[in-house]
Amino acid sequence: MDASLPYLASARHLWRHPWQLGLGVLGIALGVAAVVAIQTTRASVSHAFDAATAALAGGATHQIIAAPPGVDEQLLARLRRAGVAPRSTPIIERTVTTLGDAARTLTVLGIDPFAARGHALAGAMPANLAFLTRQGAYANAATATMLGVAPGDRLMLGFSGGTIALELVAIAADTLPDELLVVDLATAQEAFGLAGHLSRIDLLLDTGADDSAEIERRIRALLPANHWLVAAGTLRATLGRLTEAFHANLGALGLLALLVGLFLVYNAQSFLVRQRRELFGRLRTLGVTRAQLARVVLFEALLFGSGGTALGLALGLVLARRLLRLALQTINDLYFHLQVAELQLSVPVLLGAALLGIGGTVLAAVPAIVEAARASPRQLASRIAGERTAAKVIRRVAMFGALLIAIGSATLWLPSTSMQLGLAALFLLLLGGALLVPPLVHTALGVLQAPLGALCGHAGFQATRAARRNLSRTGVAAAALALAVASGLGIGTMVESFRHAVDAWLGQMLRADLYLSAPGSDDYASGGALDDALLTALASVDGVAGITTVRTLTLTPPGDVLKLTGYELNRRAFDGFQLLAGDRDAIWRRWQREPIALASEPFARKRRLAVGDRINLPARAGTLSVEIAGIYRDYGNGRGTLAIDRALLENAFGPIATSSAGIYLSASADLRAVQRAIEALLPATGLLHLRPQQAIRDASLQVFDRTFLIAGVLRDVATVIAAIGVFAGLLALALERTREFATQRALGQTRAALWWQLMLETGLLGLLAGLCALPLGGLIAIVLIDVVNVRAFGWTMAITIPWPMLGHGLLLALGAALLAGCYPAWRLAAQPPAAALREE
Amino acid sequence: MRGLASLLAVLLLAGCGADPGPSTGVEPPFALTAVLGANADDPGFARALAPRRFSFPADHGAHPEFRTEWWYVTGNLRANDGSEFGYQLTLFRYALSPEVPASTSAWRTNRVWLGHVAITDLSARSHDAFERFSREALNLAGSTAEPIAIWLDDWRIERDANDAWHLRAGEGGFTLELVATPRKPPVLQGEAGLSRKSAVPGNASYYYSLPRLDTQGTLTTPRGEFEVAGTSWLDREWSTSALGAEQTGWDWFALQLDDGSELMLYRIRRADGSIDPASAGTLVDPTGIARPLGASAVIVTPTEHWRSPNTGSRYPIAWRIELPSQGIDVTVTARLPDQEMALTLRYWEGAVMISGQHQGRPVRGMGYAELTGY
Repeated sequence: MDASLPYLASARHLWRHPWQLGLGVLGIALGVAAVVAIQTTRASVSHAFDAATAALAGGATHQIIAAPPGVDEQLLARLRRAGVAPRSTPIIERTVTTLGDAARTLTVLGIDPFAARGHALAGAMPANLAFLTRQGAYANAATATMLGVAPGDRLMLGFSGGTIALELVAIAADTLPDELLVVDLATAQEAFGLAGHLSRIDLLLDTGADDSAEIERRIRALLPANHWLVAAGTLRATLGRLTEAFHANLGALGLLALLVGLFLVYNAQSFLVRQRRELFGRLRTLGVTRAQLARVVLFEALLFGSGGTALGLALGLVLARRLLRLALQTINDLYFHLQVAELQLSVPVLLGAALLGIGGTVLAAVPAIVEAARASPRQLASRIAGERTAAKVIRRVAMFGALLIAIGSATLWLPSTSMQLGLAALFLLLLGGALLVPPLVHTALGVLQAPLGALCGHAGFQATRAARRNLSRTGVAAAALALAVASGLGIGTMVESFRHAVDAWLGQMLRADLYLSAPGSDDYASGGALDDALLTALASVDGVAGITTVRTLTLTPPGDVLKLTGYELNRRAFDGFQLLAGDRDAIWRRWQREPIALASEPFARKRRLAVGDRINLPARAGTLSVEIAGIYRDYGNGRGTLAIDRALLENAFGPIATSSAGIYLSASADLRAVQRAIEALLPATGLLHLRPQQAIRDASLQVFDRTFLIAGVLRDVATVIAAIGVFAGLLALALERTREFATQRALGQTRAALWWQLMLETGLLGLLAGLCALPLGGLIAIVLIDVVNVRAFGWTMAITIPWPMLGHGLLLALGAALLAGCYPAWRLAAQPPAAALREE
Repeated sequence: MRGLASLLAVLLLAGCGADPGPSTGVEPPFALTAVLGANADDPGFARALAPRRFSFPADHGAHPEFRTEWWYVTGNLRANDGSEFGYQLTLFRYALSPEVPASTSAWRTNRVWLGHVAITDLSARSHDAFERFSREALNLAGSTAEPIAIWLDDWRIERDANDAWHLRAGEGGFTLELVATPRKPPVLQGEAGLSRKSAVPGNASYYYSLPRLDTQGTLTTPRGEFEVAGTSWLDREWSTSALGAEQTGWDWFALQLDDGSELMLYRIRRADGSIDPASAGTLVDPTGIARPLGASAVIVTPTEHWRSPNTGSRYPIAWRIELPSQGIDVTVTARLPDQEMALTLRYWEGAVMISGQHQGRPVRGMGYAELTGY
């Protein structure tokens, strides 16, 4: 017989059912789009970040860094005269802010243009020597425009140590990174009060040379104490961890998108195959062989998969463009400036998505192929037999799901701190949980059949029976729906719990009535706008009972970032530390007398430190050894912080500018009056910000919300995609059943009764999927909070159950299902039964 | 004279950044104006207005009251295996302003240094040149009077108590470590050391040379390490003047004849193709007695040219040089055509050989030539 017959028959069937075909391909496309959008956004952000840090590193292969106060400037001449590093560029890098309300953050880079041979930034220098003058600076055109300055204009900028004045003398080439002002090294030292020290020395070593190891050894031999030679990538990688929170978020979301996408693709394809079981049965009776049929199904799967994937890739990239803009906005607001990033078309991401789309579709066709190959023509044509097989499949799926959950749980209990492993466990648990949804719904429907029959009469009975019977086709859609809703619930619960914990922590930590803060708190600088004279003046303002101060210092020994905070505390402020370990009174007695420290929870967890342990820090001269006297709750810094007494900090590292001061009022003082009195004392530069406690708390929570804004948006995108996919799946199913409904109508059932039965059936399915999503969502939340967060940041928190969100989740599942039932129900009502019957 | 090439190089550096790659398209005059513009005649600097009394060894050291100054060593060397080399080591000081600015930063300075090193391997027919820049700060570059030492990174020129000059420099697989001992006392060029570059008063430099130094030491190239010996020439010049607008470049020769005499010549070329009347020279006899030569006493005729494949510049590489009054008629030929200094500023500086007649007797010799503005 003609080999093209089965292809033609299949094509004709699909041609006559364009809705089914379209919805199936749309399902595949949506699954692919979700994955592409989230993963591409993630890759683009990473790329933009790498490009930004690489640009500042100027193509250096190595860097010499040091403990505060920085690299000894004499080192450069020693290296040069020893002939070991002819291409070595001394660098001072500082963060500054523009003054005024809408403060922008910029980087000032001090560079010696004469020593900058081979440094990428030297190539962008303008054709003008004038920046060597006392306050000369240059920037690229975009930065000058952003600052609203032209060559010849003066700029006032703030940094932790006060204000600096620069004059823009020239516009540099566009290859200079944005939001960067380049000045002469001498200017940088003068402006920032850094005489004698450098931020780092960038080295361009010939790493391919035979003697490169020997050169590195000779360089190391010349380094003073607490100076380190590191590969340029080391610092970049360390800096990269700043955005860990962001990446962990996107990573978890990408994973969920992948899972939802997988289910959507599977659902769409298996549906496209199953709706033609009867056709395939007829073809078999006409003499089409098993192998021929299998080829047809495979060919179709490839065709649908390719079409859906192509559409999904396009849709995903459109979506990614919008997400990227949002992601960059968040990063620029919270972390550091990234240039407007290009969408990075990552080959692995696109290939992976294509594999998901095409491979997933083909894989989803495998059961149908096996079935078509095994079953006799009569079995294929009969739905009952198909349903019987389906029941068997559901049991197998349940067992497989349980197995995955067991493996996932076992993975979680492995004594590991790997985040990847945590995410892998989450993937297994979710996949297993999703696979359990069809069996659970099946069982629930069986239990509900009698009570619903009693409650709603024949319609209730019919609805549960039909829903149960159709589960072989709706099961995957239900699982996808449950998974999407669960993802939303899980992430929502994590964010809500986190916000709750942060709010409570801020409430305890913020004890002062007013806070005065200076910009650029992570810099090493002495003096500063918040100097001792001002602090003394503050203390004598009427109504001020006491002042506490904070100084911060970031140490970057190779491969590490250590944040040190020097507190000048009173007992009231000290009680703001929420101790997880250690004796409060004992610590307070020792605080100003002994070299002890409080470690933040992430700090202690990441370094596996317990109370009583000691930690050695590279100090200005030698080593500062401190004992961990307590561990406190902290959500402020994922890398962890070590809190020590101010005197201990400054004895070890030299004078450090005050980054903020807490002002405590006496009981009778009037907050507004004191605020006005203090404002009158502040310099007119607008460098210092005075804010009441509540404002700090609000601002912190605002920052928190903005950090998770992108997570929320991505979650919603995933949920909407899943809802559309599920809607498409259920709609296709309902359309396919037109004939079944027409038969029922012909048998005398009223239009209203049928409508009621259909809505009940899809509603039940949606509700049960929603109910399954609750524990699944809880599971996601628990894994995110207790595993992923702990492994990524090292902080713990209690789970807060967001009750309204649970209701929303249920409503979402129900709504998507009901909506999917509406159109066929309407169509049903509009069409005479005979026409529907004729259609088949 | 020769150091003006380096002056331009410094200005260009300031103009285009220290990227040794292709020029960013900024022409030297642009940067020149930017820097020199208003303060080209900065009254804060000393100027070479009249002959001065030279005092050695002190004058071997730096004269920071002048804007520019250089130590310029060139020479021809021969190894035991017959390999022949030319070399150049130049350290050049330039002041951005007369005063050292007061600052809390040790990097704030008014002085910048430039170094050029070139090695011509005549056996391998290769020429390699390197440059370095540095500010005079934190001992990265600078000079001391006691002992007399001048350095930029690990490139170093140092004079010991026995009047021997120790030279050390290297990069990219090339190093030179030489000791050069003067065979003759310093020769004061021009009018007792005052070398006028134009008719404008003060547009002059103080200029002396050590025209013949016995040289030996070690030279390392990618071909290996060579024990070498030969003859060097040290030029010293300091000034606060610049080229006149009509002066477009110059040809400069330091020639060591095998009858014991030396000839220094520079020819300043003008935009109209003529030779500037300020061009001059000096003939040193075997006993060290110097005779100044006016522009009209010398006839220099280029006889062969070479076009650089790198820059397209066309340089003369052979000349007939006649001093009728001194009975000199010699042919000077580049020992290798491609000795172009492919650095931030491009010029040609290379080893030359001499053959011809001196007062009727056949004479041969070696030397160095510098060609700028081509």
